[in-house]
Amino acid sequence: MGSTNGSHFPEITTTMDGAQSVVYVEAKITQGACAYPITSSSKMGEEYETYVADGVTNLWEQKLQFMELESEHSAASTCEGFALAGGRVTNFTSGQGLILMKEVLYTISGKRLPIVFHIGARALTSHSLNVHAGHDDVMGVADCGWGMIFAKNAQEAGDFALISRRAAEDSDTPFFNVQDGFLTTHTIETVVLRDDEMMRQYIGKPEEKLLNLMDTANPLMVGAVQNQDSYMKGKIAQRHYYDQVPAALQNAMDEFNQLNGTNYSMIEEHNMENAEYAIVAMGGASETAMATVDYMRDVWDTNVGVVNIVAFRPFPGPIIVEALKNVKAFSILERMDNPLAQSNPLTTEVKSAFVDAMNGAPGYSKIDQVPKMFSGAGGLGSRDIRPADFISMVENMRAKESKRFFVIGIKHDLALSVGLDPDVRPEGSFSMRGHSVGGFGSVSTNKAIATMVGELGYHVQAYPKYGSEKAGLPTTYYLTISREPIRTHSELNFVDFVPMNDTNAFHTTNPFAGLQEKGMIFLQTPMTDPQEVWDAIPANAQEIVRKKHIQVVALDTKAIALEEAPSPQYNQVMQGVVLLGIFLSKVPFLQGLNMAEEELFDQVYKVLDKNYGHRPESLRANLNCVKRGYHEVFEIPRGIIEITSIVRSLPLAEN
Amino acid sequence: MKVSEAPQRRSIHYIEYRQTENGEWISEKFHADCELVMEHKIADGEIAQIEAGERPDWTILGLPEIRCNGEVIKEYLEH
Amino acid sequence: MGKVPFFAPTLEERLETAVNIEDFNNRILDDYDRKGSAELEADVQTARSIIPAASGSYRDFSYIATEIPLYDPSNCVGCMECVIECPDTAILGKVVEPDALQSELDQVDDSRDQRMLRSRFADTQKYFSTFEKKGEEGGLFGIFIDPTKCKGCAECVDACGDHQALSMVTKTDETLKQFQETFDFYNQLPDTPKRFISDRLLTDMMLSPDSLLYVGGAGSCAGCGEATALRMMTAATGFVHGPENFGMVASTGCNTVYTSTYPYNPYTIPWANSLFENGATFGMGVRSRWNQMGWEGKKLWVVGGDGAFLDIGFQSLSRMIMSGMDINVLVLDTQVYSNTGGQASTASFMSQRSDMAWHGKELKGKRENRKELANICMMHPNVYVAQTTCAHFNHFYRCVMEANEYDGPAVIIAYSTCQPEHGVADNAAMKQAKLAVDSRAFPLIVYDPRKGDTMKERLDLKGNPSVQSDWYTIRKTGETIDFIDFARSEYRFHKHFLGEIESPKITAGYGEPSPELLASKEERLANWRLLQELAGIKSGETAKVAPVKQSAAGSEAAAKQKAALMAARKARKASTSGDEGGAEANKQKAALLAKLKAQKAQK
Ligand SMILES: Cc1ncc(C[n+]2csc(CCOP(=O)(O)OP(=O)(O)O)c2C)c(N)n1
Ligand code: SF4
Ligand code: SF4
Ligand code: SF4
Repeated sequence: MGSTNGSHFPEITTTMDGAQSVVYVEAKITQGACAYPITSSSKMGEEYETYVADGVTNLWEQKLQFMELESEHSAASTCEGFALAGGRVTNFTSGQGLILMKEVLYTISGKRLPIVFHIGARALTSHSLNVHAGHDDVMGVADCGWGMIFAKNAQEAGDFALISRRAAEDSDTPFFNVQDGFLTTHTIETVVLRDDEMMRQYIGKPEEKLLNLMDTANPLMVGAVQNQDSYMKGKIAQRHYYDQVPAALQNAMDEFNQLNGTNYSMIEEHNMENAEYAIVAMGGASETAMATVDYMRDVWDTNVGVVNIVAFRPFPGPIIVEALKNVKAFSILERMDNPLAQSNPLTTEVKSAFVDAMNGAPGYSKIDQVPKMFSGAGGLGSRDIRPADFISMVENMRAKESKRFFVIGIKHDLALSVGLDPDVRPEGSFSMRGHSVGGFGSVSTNKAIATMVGELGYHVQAYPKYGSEKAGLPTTYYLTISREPIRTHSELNFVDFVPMNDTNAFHTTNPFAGLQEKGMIFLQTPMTDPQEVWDAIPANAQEIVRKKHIQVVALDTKAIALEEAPSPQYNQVMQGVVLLGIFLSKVPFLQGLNMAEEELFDQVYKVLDKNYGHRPESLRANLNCVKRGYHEVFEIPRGIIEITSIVRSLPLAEN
Repeated sequence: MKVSEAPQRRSIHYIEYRQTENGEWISEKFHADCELVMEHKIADGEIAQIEAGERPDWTILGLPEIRCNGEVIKEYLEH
Repeated sequence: MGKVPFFAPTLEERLETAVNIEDFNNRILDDYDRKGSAELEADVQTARSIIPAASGSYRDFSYIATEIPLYDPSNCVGCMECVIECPDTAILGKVVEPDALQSELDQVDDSRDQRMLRSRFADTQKYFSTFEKKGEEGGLFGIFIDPTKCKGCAECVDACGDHQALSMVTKTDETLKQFQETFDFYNQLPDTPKRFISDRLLTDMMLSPDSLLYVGGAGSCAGCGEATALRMMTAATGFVHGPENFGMVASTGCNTVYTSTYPYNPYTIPWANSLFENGATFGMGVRSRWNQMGWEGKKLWVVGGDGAFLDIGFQSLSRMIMSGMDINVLVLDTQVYSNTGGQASTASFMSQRSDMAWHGKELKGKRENRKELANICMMHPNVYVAQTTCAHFNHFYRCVMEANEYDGPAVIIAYSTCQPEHGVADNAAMKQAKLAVDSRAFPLIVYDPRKGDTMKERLDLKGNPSVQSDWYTIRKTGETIDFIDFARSEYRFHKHFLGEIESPKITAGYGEPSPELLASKEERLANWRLLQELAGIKSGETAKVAPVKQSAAGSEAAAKQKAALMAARKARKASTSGDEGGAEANKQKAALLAKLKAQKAQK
C-alpha cells in the first residue's frame, strides 16, 4: 500500500503484531538488547535475537549485540552497564520480570541513562499466576523516575519506540514503552513501517548523542555513596533533568508528527468537543472505547467522549483537566486494582490534578467546579473488555443511583449490569473464529491469512486465544478484515466464518456463538460425500445451520497434509495451511476483488516465501496445500441441508 | 609464625647508641614499654654526630629521643 | 505543559552538565574541605554525583592517628613490602639517581632540612651496589610517608618485619609538618627511572606511577585487608596493561562505601557501582559495549565482597562466567557482611560468631559449612580461578596477572582481613592472612584451565606449607599449625575457648577448644583433603576424617528432634490400637473389606 497522507518519507504497509512492530524499530536504531524470557514479551527478545543471529546491522552499519541473562534483574543490570559505556540498548519484559528489575530501574534513572524498555504489560502473580494483560506491573514501577507512555495498538507500539527513544535521549531520562500483553504484543494488525532515512535523522547516531561514562580516557566515578551532606542535594538536583522531560516528549511527538503525518500527543481526545460524559483509559481498551462511543453517537445520538492517556509519566495533569473539565461526569477505567489506596493509580492522579486546578496551582488554568468522577477496574488478566462494558459505564454515570467505584466483566456486588453489546466493528468487516487443535498449524495459518489479506490492502487484526494450552489441546483463533482501521480489542462475538479443524468442536464448545445470519462454517472431515458429511453433524447443530441459513463447506485437510508433507514431522502442522486455500476460494469478501487465480497464487507464494523461503521443499508443499484447499473444498448443497428435518435433540443456545 | 609470637605494635620510646667494651658502637630502637627492641644499623657519620652531642640526621624527621650510653642527649622533639 | 520550544543539549553540553571536573576539584572539594559542605548548592553538578578521578588525593587524614611510621634507611633493603601492604597508599618508595637527588637538594635553603631530606635515602644493595657492580650508576632508595593518607595502622611496620626499618612514632604538629615536607620533596623528585624497576620482581611494581591507580583517601578502617587487595589488583593490572586500558565495576559493600563516599574517589580509572548483587552482569553490559567499540583489549574488573558473590549475586556471577566474556572478578572475602556490621555470609567459617549467627546459650555460632566459591567456580567451563591473599604478594600478583592474560572469565578470591569483624589488631591484616593459609582455613589455589585437560594438571596448591600433609608443621620447632591456632588468634572465635577470658579486649582465646570449633577444624580439613585429592596430591597422613555435615550443636539438636519424633510415633501407635479412636478406625477398615469382598463376589 502506498504512502499515508502527510508523510515526507516513503512508507511500507505491512501486517505485524505489537511485539514485531517494536523490534522492527529497535533492530534499526539500537546497538544492543538484553532480555530474559517472560510471557508476553519473550517474543520481542526472541525476534531481536534472530536479527543478531543473522548478523544484521543497525542503520549506522553497526552489528547488534544480544544477551539473554539469568534473570530480569541481571538483564536490566546489563543494560545499565551497556548504556553506561555509551551504548544504545533496549530490553523487553513483563509482569514479574518488571517487578524483579525494579531495584535496577532506580539506578538507571539516577545515572540518567536514556534507555528504552518495552513492556508487554501483564497482571502480577498474586492469588494466582496470570500471563495476560494487566497494568499492575507497570504501575508498580511508575515511580522509578522513568518516562512511561502507552501504545494502544501495534502501530503505536512501533512509533512510540521511536518517540520514547528520542524523548529519552533528549532529556537523559529512561522511558518505558508500554503495550498490553498479548492483546497488543501478539495481535497482528496493519502497520505502517517508518522509513529508514526518517529514523536515521529522527533518532541520530548513538555516538553523537550518548555519553560514555566508562571511558578510560576520561575516568569518572559513577554511582557514589552519599550521606546527609549530599544525597538530598543530588536527588533534588535531578529535577534539572526531569523538568525537561515534558518538553522533550512533546517535542519528540511534534517532530514525529511533522515527519510522518501522524497526530500523536500526550493525551488523545476522541469525540470530546461537545461530550457530556467521558471515558478515560490507557492502552488498547481506550480504542475499543472510541469505537463504542462512535457507535453511541451515530446510532443513539449520545455525546460521549474518550480521553486516552498516552503519557502516564510525565503525567500531563493540566492537559487532562483541560480536556475533561467541561463534562458532567467521567469514568476512569484501569486494568488493575489496589483497594487500600485512595484510588487506583490513574484515578488518584487525575483527582489530584483536578484539585490543583481548583486551587489555581501553577501550570493550571483555574476551574470552579469538578465533574463527577467515577473509577473502575476491568480487563484484569485480559478479562475481556467489551463495548457493552463502556455502555454500562455511561449508563452508570447517568443513573440516579450509581456506583462511584465499579468493576466490569465479572459478576460481583461492585459490577455494573451489562445490557446491549453492539457490533462496533467497522462497517463491512469480516470476522473469522477458528476452532483447532494446538499443533495443527492453524495459528500460523491465521497469521498467513492476515498477512495475505493485509498485502491486498485491507486492515486486519488477527490473534489466537492464548491460554496456558500446550500442543494437543483445543485452540481458538480470531481474524477480522476491514476496509477501515479496526479499533476494537475485544474477543470476537460477531463472526462470519467459523472453520473447525477440530472435529470435536461441536462437543467441546459452541461453534455457532456469534455466527451471523448467512455465515459460513468449515468442517474438517474424512468423508467426501456431502450427504455423509451432513449426516455426521449433530442434529441440534443442523437445526441452527438451517435456521440461520449457514453455508457449510468441508474438506479432508488432514489427508491433504499427509499427502503433501515433505517429511513426517509436517503431517500435522500442514493441515492448517490448507485452510488458506479454502479461505481464498470461499470467503465472499475476497471474491469481490476479482483477482485472477494466477495473481492470487503469486500473492500466496510471496506470503509463504516470507515464512518458509529458507526451506524450499516446505515452501513447495505449502503452496500445493493452499492450491488443493482452493480447488478441492466442497459445499453441502442447500438441498441436503433443508431436506433433513428430524430433530434429534434440543437446540444449542446461540450465545 | 604463631600469633603469640607476633610482635605487638609499639611506638618508639627512644633510640640508644652504646659503645661496647671493645670500642664498637651499637644502636637500638626501644619501643614504648621496652619489650620490643629493634636494631638500628649505624651509617657513616652517625657516631661523629652522637659524639658531638648532635641528633643523627636520620632522626631529624620525627625527632625521637636519643640516648647515648644511658644518657639522654636529645629529648623527644628537641632539635 | 504547553508547547515550550525545546533544544536538546549537544554531547559536549551533556558532559558539561554531567560533571565539570575543574569546578569539582576547586569549588566542591574546597567546600567539603573547609566548610563541611554546608554551603554547597544542590546544583546540576550534584544531580548525577559523578566524582572525577583521584579526588581522594585531596583528602587529609593527618589528624586521625596519633602515630606515624618512622623510616630507618640504614636498615632498609628496598624490598617494597611496606609499600605493597599499606591499605591507604600512605607509604611510597622511590629510586633516584644521585645527581638528580643532589640537584633537588641544592634547591633546599635550610641545611638542616637538607640533611633531613638526604637522610631519607639508603644505598641498598638492591638498587645501588648491584647496579654499580654491573658498571651502571646505582640508585638511592627511599621510603616516604604521606601524612595526609596515613591512618597509623602500623601494617607497614609488620610488613617490614625482621628488616626492622620501620617503627611507629608519636606525631605532633611540628613533626607532622616535617613529614609533609619530606613527602612534598618525594613528589618533586622525578619518577623512578625505568631501569630500576625489574620486570622479574613483582614487588617492584609499585615503584612505577602506572601501578599507583589507587591514590588513597578512602574511608576504610585502619589496616583494612580489602583495601590492600584493591590496591594490589589495580597495581598489577595498571603496571602490565597501562592505566588507560582498565576500568572497574564494584558491587555494593564495604569497598564501595569507603572508596566512593562523596566527594572522595581514590581511583584514577573509570569506576561504577550499580547495586549489591549485580556487579557481574552490570560488568557484562560494559564489556559488551566495550567490545563493540573495539576495546576488547581493555581490562575490566568486577569487585565485591563474599556476600556479593557467594550469596545475593551468586547467580549473576555464574551467569557471567558462562558468558565466557573477558571479565575478571575480585572477591574480597571477609567471611562476613562487613559493610552492614558483620552478619554471617555463606563464606563464614563454621562456628564463627557473627551477627545472625550468634554464639548463645544454645546455638554456638554458625552451624553450616563454609561455602567454597573457588570449588564451585572451577566446575564452570573455561574459567581461571584462584584463591590468594595479599600477604602472599607474589602469589597474589601472579594470579592477577594470569587473570588478566586469561582470555575469558577469571575469579580471584582474596582473603581479606577485616579488623572489626574478625576481632584483630589494626596491624594484623598480613599476619592473619598468612595464618589463615598456614592453618588450612583458606588454602591458596590456582586453577588454570590452560594447564592441561585433567583437574590434576589444572589445579595448583603451590604456596601452601606442607602441601602433602594434613596440617603444616614448622620444621624448626616441630610445632603444628591447625585451624584451632588460627581461631585462637581472632576474637570472632573466642567464645569457643572454654577457659576464662581475662579481658574482653584480649583477642586471643584461652583454654580448650569447644566441640563446635573442633567440628569446624574437621570441616576445614575435609576441604583441604578435597583440594589435595583434586590436585592429585597424596596426603602424607592416613587418619580418616568423618564427613562433616553439621557442627556438633546441630547434630545434637537433630538427634534430639529424632528422639522426640520416635517418641511421638510410639505414642500414636499405642493410641490407635488401644483407645476408642483406634477401635473406630478398625471398624471402618473391617467394613471396607467386607464391601470389597461383596463387590468381587458380584463380578
Ligand atoms: C538488595 C540489597 N540487600 C541488602 C543490602 C545491604 N547490604 C549492603 S552491603 C551488604 C553486605 C556486603 O557484604 P559483602 O558483599 O561480603 O562485602 P563486605 O562489606 O564484607 O566487603 C549488605 C547486606 C543491599 N545494599 N542491597
Ligand atoms: S601506618 Fe598504616 S596507613 Fe600508615 S603508612 Fe603504615 S600501613 Fe600505611
Ligand atoms: S619493608 Fe622495610 S625493608 Fe622493605 S622497603 Fe619497606 S622499609 Fe625497606
Ligand atoms: S569493616 Fe572490614 S572490610 Fe570494611 S573497611 Fe573496615 S576493615 Fe575493611
